[in-house]
Amino acid sequence: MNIDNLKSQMRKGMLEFCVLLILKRGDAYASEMIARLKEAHLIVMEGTLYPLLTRLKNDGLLSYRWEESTQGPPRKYYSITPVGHQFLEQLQQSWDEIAASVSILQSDYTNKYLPQ
Amino acid sequence: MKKTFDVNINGKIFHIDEDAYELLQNYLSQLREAFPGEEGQEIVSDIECRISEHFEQRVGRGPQVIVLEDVNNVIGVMGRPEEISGEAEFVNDAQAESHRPDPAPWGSSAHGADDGQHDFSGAGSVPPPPLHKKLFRDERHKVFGGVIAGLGQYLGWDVTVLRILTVVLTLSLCRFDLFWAMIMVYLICWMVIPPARTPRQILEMRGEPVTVDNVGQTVIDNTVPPAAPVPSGSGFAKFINNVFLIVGKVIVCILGIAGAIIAATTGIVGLVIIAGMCCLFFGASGALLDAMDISLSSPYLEGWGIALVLFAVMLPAICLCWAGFSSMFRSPKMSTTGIIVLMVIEVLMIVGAVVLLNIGGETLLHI
Repeated sequence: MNIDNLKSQMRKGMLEFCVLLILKRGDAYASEMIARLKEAHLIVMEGTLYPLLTRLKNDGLLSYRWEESTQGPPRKYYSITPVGHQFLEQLQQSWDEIAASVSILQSDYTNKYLPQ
Repeated sequence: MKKTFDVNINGKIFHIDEDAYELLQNYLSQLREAFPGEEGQEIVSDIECRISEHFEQRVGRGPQVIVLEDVNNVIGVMGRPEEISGEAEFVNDAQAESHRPDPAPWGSSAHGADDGQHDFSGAGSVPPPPLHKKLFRDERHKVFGGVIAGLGQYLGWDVTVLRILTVVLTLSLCRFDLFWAMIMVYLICWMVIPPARTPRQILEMRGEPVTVDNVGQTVIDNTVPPAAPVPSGSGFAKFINNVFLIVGKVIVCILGIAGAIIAATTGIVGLVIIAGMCCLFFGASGALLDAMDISLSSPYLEGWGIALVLFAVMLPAICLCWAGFSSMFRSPKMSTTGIIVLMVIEVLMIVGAVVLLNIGGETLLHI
């Protein structure tokens, strides 16, 4: 079992969720999302975001529009669609469940093995 | 001093070093391969936008020119094609595992989890296609056209052994007067098998996986002039290899000189005949033709026919000469269009000569 591999797989599964979370707060273009995801230490390779965005867009969870920018070529601004909102809600729910399950196990672990 | 290119990435112009350009080009074409179709195009052009932003920042901070290191850095930040499309691979792994009969007690739950994972990721992008070893001509280790060297790479045999086998085979065919057949086979292979020129092709020829690491290395390798690096081996193998190379050069040189001599002779005789024909045509005496002891029964047609035959011999001779000397001195190679044009001219000349000589012969019979 390769720990780095497992870690990156855990992150990958979260990435869609996090992208939708970012977009829920407001429209953003890819570089802004990368900056936020990097702040949150969620991606290492910037390129991985792009196939994901395209996929979410093709599944109708995201849409984009071109917007002129003051400093350079027009940018692709992504926004979340109503379907995306629904999807995000479901993800949020399942995330809460997972977090709850993990925290139960974690508290078991700390109670049992770690001196309080 | 280095050559630079101007590239337009997402509407911004950058000066980029030649080797850096080549690496970037390779990176992008690998991305295109890893992400095929319309969807892939969108992904690659988005990634290009991001690369352009990185370059912009980099140019704002430092020197004007994008160098190899900058491209390597950007690739490091963006990720290699297989890393970017890694998600898709992960889904495939999960699928493969869920199809495998799993006797472990957690089999069913893992199954469900995998399916969930699959649905979650949706229809993913396609993983990069596996690389097949392909037959190319290895021009960097060539004696004539690199056919045997390429075959050696393809079969994974030592080139020297393969060359010795080829020579032995050719010599044994000589006993059955089939020497020419071997030459024809070689020439056809030379024409049909493409040379490995781009880093990707070189890696395909060697059967090494195409990763940016590899490509970067090959790009750098490639900037070194292909001065026939001898394959690793004992001193004796190297010696044999050098013998092959030298004998090859000598043969090429002899062929080049022979081509030059034939081209010069046929060219001069052809021009003299044409000059003689012109003399006849304008009413001057046929002294020039008589002097050369060329007597034509129907000079207007047959004469032109003979001249065409001579030129039809001259053209391949010139090509042979050029091929010989260009391999000796590395002069520029002919373009494919050039070769096609020459072949068309050659065929036209042969057809013309046949027609003219036949008509000439017939008129001869009628008169």
